[in-house]
Amino acid sequence: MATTNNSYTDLIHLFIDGEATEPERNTLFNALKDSPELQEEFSSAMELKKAFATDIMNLQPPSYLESQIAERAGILVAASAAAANAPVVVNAVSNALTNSAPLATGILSKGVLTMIVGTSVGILSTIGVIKLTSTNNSAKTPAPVAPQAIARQAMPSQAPQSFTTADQLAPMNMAPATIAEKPAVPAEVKSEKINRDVKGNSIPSQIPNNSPVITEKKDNSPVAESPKMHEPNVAIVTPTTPILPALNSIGGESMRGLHQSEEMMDMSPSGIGRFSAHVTGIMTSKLYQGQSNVTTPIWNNIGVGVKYDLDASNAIGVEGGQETFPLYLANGRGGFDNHQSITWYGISWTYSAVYMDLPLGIHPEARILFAGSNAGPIGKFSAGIAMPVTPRLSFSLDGEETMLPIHSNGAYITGNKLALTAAFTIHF
Amino acid sequence: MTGFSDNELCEALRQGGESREHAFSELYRRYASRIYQYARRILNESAEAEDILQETFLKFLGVIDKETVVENVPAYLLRIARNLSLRTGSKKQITVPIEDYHSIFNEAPMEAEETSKILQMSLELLPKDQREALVMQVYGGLSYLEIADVMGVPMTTVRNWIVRAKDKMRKIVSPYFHEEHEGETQEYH
Repeated sequence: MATTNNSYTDLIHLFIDGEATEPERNTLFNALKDSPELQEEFSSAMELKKAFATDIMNLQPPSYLESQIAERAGILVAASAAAANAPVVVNAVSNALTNSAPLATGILSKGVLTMIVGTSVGILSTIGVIKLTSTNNSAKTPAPVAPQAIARQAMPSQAPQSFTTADQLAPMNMAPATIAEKPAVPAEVKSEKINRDVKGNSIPSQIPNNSPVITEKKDNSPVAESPKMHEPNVAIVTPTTPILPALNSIGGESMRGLHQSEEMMDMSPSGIGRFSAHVTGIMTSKLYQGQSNVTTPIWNNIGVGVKYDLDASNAIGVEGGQETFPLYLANGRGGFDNHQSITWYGISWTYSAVYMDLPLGIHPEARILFAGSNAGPIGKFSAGIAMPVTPRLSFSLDGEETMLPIHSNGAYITGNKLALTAAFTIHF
Repeated sequence: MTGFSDNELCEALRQGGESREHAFSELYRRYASRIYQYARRILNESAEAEDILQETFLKFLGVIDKETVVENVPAYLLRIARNLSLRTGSKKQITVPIEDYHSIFNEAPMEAEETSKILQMSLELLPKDQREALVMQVYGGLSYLEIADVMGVPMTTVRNWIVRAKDKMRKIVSPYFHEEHEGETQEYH
């Protein structure tokens, strides 16, 4: 299956958003190896991501809103809690300085935008000569590099440092306890207070006394974690460095969506989220080869299948079904039996033109299927439209042509059938 | 209360008293920025974004007080914010004067504030659905699947919208970034 430049563009954004599947990542990596144009496109897509990060930093709600909302809701918020909104950014920056002093200093001294743009362009425009290695930032001092590598060096681990809120900071190794906790309160006292506030004494403290890093757990709540999250560093190596390991490192934690938590990572469509199952009703419209006198009901047919989304537009599937297709089959006793239906199992490929922005989310689709049946091999081609019913359910209506080679009077002819199909698909 | 899950915080909200106060404060700390940023980029008005943030949390608190179970708090908050934004947005026509668009691009060098302006203007050039999906993903912090649930469309549609939107925005803003990058390169050499 050929992949168009348009598809590569899709893959670039899916990859940067952390929504690409493993096959999609590999496809993208292979394409990037040989295409300077695609590398350029990747680079500018990263620049856009950095610009969003800068924008997020600039867009913070006024600090007075919290107390205002609390007042309207009849909640009395202590002065310290109301003021906690303002120190978030300050604490985040100061902690960033502690954890990654050179990078944060760069941001503050050169301006966030300049640093971000320079670093991202630097690393990605020369992607073939860069290798990313996973190291513990807190334990290692980067080796000296050539001056032109300065901007590149910061990119992978620097990107998230443009984030400001605790949740935005969480995916990287700089989300500080100071964001979430009031600094003057000892951890032991705080933990006990939490226990009394919510669950009495039955809940053990979830915040280790010496936990400087907050990350998100499955239920979307931050939990304490030791500061050993690996962040990739960059070193200049020879041009023969394989691009795949480098990109694999880029596509790790630091390259996911700006706010994405671990929970969201689990919800990415890399697993069962790519699968769908459908049930299809097949209404016979026309039979060729003189088989128009069908006595079976037109809705006697049904097909089922499971599909796997290769990307936003392409899916492969395994399907089976039974449908009206009257013909004579040799019975092994020198005669023929009259069959009204065939039963088939096969594989399919479906292309959905989801990029077409039609009303109601309608988009055209086409499918080709090759199958084996009790009457021999068959082929199907269908085309029509699909539309969403709910987020997980879609409905499609297609015209379908079925072809079956028939041995007749010493020669092979093609038996044909035109049908209208209606299918409901559940997306997992 | 930083160690507690969203569900535990919601339970604490129902308990009242000091627990309610701290739980609200923590939920606000976690999600207020996302709601505000979403509303700002959808409505392009700071005052309206503040109103949306306030109303979103007030509605959310009302829901929680009714013993309603909220499985995904950030997605739920954004769903409320979306409904409020749609109501607010339908009352006004958002337009981008082309003169403003060009004037932004002709000014150099750009700083963070101008980056925000460029992004806002670029966002407003996108089709409505694409813009909304993109803003939810970038500013609201939702995954494609969560956005699909909030917007009531298949995830493949969301993926398509976001990819198309980002590519359009990339093409719009790339001239600006190239200019910035050239300046950066000269500086390092």
